[in-house]
Amino acid sequence: MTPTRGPAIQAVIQARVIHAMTVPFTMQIVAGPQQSSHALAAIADEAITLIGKCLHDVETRFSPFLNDSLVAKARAGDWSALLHDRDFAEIYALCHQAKRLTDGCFDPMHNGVYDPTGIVKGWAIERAHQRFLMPLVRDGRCAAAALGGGGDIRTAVHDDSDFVWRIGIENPLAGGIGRTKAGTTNPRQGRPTPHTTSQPSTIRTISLRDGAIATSGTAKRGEHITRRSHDLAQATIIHDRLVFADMWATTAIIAGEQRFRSILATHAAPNVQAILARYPEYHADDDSLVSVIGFPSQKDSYETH
Amino acid sequence: MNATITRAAVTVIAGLAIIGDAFLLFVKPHQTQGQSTASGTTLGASTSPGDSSESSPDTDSGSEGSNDSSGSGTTASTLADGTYTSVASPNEYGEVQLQVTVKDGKITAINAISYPNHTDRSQAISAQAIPELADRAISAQSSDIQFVSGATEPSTAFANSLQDAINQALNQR
Repeated sequence: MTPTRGPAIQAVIQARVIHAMTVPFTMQIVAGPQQSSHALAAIADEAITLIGKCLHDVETRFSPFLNDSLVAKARAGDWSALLHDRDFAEIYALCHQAKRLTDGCFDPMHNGVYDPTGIVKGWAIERAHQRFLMPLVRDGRCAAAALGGGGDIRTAVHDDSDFVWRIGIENPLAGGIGRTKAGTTNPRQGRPTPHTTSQPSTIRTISLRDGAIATSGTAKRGEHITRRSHDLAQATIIHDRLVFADMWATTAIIAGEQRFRSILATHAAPNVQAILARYPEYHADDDSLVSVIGFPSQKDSYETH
Repeated sequence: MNATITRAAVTVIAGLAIIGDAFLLFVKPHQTQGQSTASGTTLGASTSPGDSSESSPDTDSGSEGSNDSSGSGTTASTLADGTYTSVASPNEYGEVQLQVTVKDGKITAINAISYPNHTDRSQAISAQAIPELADRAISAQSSDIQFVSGATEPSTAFANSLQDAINQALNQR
């Protein structure tokens, strides 16, 4: 039984998925008042095509797994892309700025080779959102638009709309998240899965209009994180800019909670909001497993069970 | 000295609409008269004169995707010697300037200089997210969340994911 929230009429939303950089990206656009689902669907189809091309282009230029990408060339010693590719230069500059801001926790040269992976995906989402979704929102062709992939999400809402994006933060301690439709059998559990599971699928729900969310965790693929501390299983950052949300999320996992809080304080990052999921084995049974930063109206910690 | 030359060059370049907003300036203090400003200073120049050079997400060429040297045909072997300095793109944490030195047609040095933002960031725009206590279990049908943010599910496992279920439920409304 779910309490109703928000407007009584559910918003009309069209979702599309595109796969790039081996990750599934979800785009969603929300219909404006009196906008038909059919019209919205046409807009969604066009937007996802353009977004897909943008993401694949970023992959071509920045994937360290493609031998002729600009990153692969830089690793081989050819840095000329700094001079002829504005995006390559911008990402390189952002990586170095991130290293300074995070006291070295975010380091593009970890493992001795150039690795901008921690920022590229978020940068690409932000670029695609800015180019292909923001115009839709500004022009009123949709009420709200968001693009997410690999835990990174960028959202926007038209000023005149009262729509609010709601994002569930995954529970890092939950096992495989199967569908929980009544009557379905979750193959991983071998029995019908009711609405309640032994572990909740999500640990928090974030309400957001315009902004960015990034989640880093130990289970993250394409591991670009060199772990130095083990007390956080997952870190979710909410920020204006997705690239910096990425940066802070990575930093939290590497630095651990106390050092992360200290770094934030040092670099005067007052508008960083975070949801941190602690490893159970590092805390007493009565400790809270989720701690938050930057939400003054909330208690600092909550019980999750 | 280099900073002065860069600012003066920026003033000159800004006045040439044909060039657009170059993101790298060719700074060569010992340059002789012969080399024209236009051809020598706009390596990797964008083709959209209207672009702002302020915030990072907007500094692009205006053409989708690659900003590769489709127009300039610049490669390492054809680079003129000198020091190339990026026009810094500021963000809320400050800005980073890149300096790339080319000697004998090859890049010999790369420097990234960070300039912190000394303005008061306490008034910076905040995403102003509001966290709420979680539902015990989220299913695509019973929840009103649109996105799940978590450790990456690979594309191969997406069909079993909560995000996929949510997407499908939304499209069926």
